[in-house]
Amino acid sequence: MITPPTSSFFAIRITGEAADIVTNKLSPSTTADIFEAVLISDDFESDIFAYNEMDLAIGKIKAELNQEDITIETKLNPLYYPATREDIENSLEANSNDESFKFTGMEGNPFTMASTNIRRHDELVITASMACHQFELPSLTDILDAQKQERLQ
Amino acid sequence: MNIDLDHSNFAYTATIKLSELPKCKTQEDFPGVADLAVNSRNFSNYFDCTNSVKNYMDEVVKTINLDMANDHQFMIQTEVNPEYSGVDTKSKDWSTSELARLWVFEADQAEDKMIMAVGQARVFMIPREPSNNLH
Repeated sequence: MITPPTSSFFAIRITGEAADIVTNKLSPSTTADIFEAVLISDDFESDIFAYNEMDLAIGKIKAELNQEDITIETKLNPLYYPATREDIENSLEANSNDESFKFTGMEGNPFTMASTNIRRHDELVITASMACHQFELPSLTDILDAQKQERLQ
Repeated sequence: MNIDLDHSNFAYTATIKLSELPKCKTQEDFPGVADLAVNSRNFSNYFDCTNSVKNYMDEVVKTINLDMANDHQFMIQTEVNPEYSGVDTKSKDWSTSELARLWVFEADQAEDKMIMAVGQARVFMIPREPSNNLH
């Protein structure tokens, strides 16, 4: 489990009827003209704080959506949050030279720490991700060792 | 140069820097959010697009001004790409596809100071594809 040494932030893409909710707060007359809204946060020192703020922002919009047939899918990046060795290995893919790995989980971006997708009637209306700024990732061995230490404790 | 009204679609993007509006009540609706951006649908008619972006920005500024009471009041200033208007603008980084910019800034900023914008909208021309279905 890695603790990122950089600050964190979140981005939320809002479409469909959820975009109408956002536009309606600012400019009711143009609701039909706005295709999508994108919310970008400030930087936060703590990823926990960034995640909580993202959750709060999503919650405000979600509360105004028609609650019928809403599905919420949240994913946590096993590199940063408690996970099994299998979870970590499933998020990696060997590069063609077989000497290194690339991270394919979380849409291939190793710096995305968490994501939340909200669908209504199978239409994706909110896509949110919380990420940290880039830093040099430790080796897979170090990540797995850190994971083992966490479990031993 | 003339805007190709017959073979283009039009769209706009608008961003408000909520982080620069600390007393704005709208921030309560979007906790932790620094920038709020919207992208419009594609318009087949240039005037529908410019009316929409103007309405959007007018209503946003009205909302902000109401939120801020008399502490700070904001206004809009428009620039048109000099390539189409022949009139020089403060912005120099125009691309051919960008037609206009609407800036939101505090109304009582001194003329001699650098103006700090809290919002911006940009109107773009998009080449029309034959199969492009519009609303």
